[in-house]
Amino acid sequence: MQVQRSAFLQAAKPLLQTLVKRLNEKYGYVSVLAADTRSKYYRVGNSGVSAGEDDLFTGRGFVLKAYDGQSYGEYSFTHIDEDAIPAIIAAVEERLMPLTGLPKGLTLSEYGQIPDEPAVLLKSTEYAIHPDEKGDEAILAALTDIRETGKSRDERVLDSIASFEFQEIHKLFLSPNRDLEQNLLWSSGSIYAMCPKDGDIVGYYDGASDLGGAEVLDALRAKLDNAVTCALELIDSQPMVPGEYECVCTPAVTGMIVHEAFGHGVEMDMFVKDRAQAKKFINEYVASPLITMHDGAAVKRDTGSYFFDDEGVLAHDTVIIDKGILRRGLSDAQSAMHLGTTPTGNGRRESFERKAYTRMTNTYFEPGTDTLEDMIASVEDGFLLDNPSSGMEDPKNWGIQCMVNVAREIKNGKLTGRIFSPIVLTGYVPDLLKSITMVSRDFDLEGGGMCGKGWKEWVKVSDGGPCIKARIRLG
Amino acid sequence: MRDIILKALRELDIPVYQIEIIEERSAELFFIKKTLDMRRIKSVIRCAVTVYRDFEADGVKFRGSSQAQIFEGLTLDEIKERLKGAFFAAQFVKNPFYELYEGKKEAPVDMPSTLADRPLEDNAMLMAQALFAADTEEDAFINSAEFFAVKKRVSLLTSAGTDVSYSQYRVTGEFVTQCKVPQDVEQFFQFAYADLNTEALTGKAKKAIAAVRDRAAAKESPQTGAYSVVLSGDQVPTILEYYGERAHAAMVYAQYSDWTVGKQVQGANVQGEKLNLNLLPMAPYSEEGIPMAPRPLIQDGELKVIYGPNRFCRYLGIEPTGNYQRLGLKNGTVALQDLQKGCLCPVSFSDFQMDAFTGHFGGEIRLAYLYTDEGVEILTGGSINGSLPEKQGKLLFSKEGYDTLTYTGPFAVKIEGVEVAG
Repeated sequence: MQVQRSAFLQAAKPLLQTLVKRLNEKYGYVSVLAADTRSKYYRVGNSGVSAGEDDLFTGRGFVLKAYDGQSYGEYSFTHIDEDAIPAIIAAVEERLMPLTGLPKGLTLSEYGQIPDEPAVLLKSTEYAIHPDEKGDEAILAALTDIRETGKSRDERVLDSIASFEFQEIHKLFLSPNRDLEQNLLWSSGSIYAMCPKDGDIVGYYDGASDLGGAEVLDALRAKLDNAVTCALELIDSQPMVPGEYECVCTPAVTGMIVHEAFGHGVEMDMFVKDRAQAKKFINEYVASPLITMHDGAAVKRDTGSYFFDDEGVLAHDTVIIDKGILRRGLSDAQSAMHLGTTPTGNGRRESFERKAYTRMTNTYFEPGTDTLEDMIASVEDGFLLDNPSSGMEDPKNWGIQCMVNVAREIKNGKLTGRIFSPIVLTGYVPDLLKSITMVSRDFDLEGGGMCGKGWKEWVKVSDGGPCIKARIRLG
Repeated sequence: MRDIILKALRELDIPVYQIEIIEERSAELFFIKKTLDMRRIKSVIRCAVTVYRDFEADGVKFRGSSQAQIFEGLTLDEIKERLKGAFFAAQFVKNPFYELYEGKKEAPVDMPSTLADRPLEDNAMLMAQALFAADTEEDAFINSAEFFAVKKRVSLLTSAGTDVSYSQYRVTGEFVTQCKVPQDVEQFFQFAYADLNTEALTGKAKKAIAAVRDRAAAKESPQTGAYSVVLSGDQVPTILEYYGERAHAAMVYAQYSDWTVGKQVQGANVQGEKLNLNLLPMAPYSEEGIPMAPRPLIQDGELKVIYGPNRFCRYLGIEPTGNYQRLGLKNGTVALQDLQKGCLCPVSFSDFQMDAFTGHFGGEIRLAYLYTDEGVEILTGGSINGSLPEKQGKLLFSKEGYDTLTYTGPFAVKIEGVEVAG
């Protein structure tokens, strides 16, 4: 089934076209992005049951962009009708674009005009079961079953939180020459199994996601047993002895390294600001020749997928690292103009209320030819790293800070059964990527989480890849 | 908007509800070095309606709830459709019955702020001027900055009598400092003020530029081992979040925390300072319309209150207090200079985190000072990883203070025996 179009956007479209046309009489470039999004969450745990529309991912509104021959301004608003158009135009002409009070010593940027190449697009994604059709009762019943099965597995399980959410996205991008509309649906779910340990709590998180509907619940159910088993194992975990080790990373940990350690460093708005070391390494080796890295909303089917970005640029498949060599970064339209490059369809906003930045979409390493078993067998003294918990970017210095929940000890090619937790991964990104000596044929993409730019601007992304073997500093 | 929502609720025969309407206007500036790269303004209204539905199962009374977002321009029929959907979902949200917080109609509150004296666009420009006033040297400078001057009016109406509203100004943002010699490095900072606090921002920027200059000079990472560590600035409230979260009614109700009022939460053997921590309001009312006032959280290491939103407080049989997001610590016995002696003092991390479930804190060090008898070493790299429950008996705090929107209290805390990976 295809995601249906938004009646609200259809009704607003003639008004928006009028608005763009009238403002375009004064401003060289004008565009408007209209959004009608609805997200619903469901959660079952010791705290009780919750369900409702999520305020972060639910909204209706518009963001207007205007160019005055030198620079760009944006106006975000939530109301439009015939009567409101004069006030919107007045806000742009009187409050936004005339720049007054710029303090001495500060200057205004000088940009060219966005090339407004003609394009018309109307596309929708597909799903098997729409969460609305599945219904609140069935979704909560499925989550309750997951939660109760997890809790009843062992009396030491304190809680087994099961959650599910989806977002139906309708976006319309209009400029003098572009008329783009997309209708998307993503769904994701998670399990968080928790056990007490010496007065504190340890837990194991796992998730499932898709550019689809409630069928994700089945994938989530399949992950319950492993999540509970791992949470129970964590009761006997020990603190890590700091040092550099040979490590095998599961696809989830690979995904965190791809995204946090490297992906943020090739967001080209950081190139514009001179905040990314990657800028100096284009066409140089930054990783093992075994590594090829992609990002693209058009390349994989997950929560980072779309047909066009929030600046009206069509989605791409960008090969960032090709057999170890850094080829190119990702960019939004304005950064690309600044750098004289082609935008890659990565201009994304948290919502119509926010500015567009260069953001990742679906980001991953291509699979290789090894097996996980062979990779573990090749490690003399090291760890199998699993279950990433958080990470932070450092584009300027390519420093790694990633937190991992589980490190399984490997001695003489075999898992010993000893578990260490929590783990901080540190080091220099190219050192880690160049140290990769094995890449598995597995592949997994996970889009349950959200990505921030610094500490804000949350968007859905997915990341992953195969298992990799590398030398990593653990603390 | 409020009237049409009330009409829809009446026509749908939904007797128990909460309506929250937020009107927000902002002026936003985005700089790359000293060049204004983008300017934005915003004028939006957001509205969330929570509907409650009472039902019985096996002789037990339940109260389910679900939330619908209502948008500007929706017709009565469209609003009814959304509320009907939420009311339908609420019958499957099987939570034990609880009463809503019973409030009353109060006069609107305008939180005083010097930001109210001029247009938002001017506030944003003045804060930009204040930040860049510190940017006077060539070797270390402001790389980029973002400013958000915001006015928000929040209105809360419930079927249990609450009818309150308040307006609030904020100017928030972030900036990055950069130093190119002897090595090219940067550091990230955030700011948030309820007033036009230009002097504070200039001061923060000056310190930030000095810090990035130090970081550029730092080459070595600390040797691996256990250190007495002094954490400072925003890291102190991050550490204290452990206590704030453990005492939260949602954590206690879910059995994630076994804390009870009267518990010595720092343990029985406190050789350092006993904590005196207060909950401080950031707005006159909570998200549920509960009037907010300062409350003691911990006195001399003893927990004084379990706090939180209405439902969890009702379940625990305690007074609903609302959520608090600001902490005030009444501690500090040692001058900062004395506190730092012999200690590793990380002043900047890539991302310093506290896990309230485990009590573990840690992060990758961007800049640290190691104070030894021989002098001060400037270090970068490595990470710290500690357990607050294990170390909290020997905490010492600085006499020097630190104030942000979410914290007021000592500038620094000393924690002994923290593992550092070099």
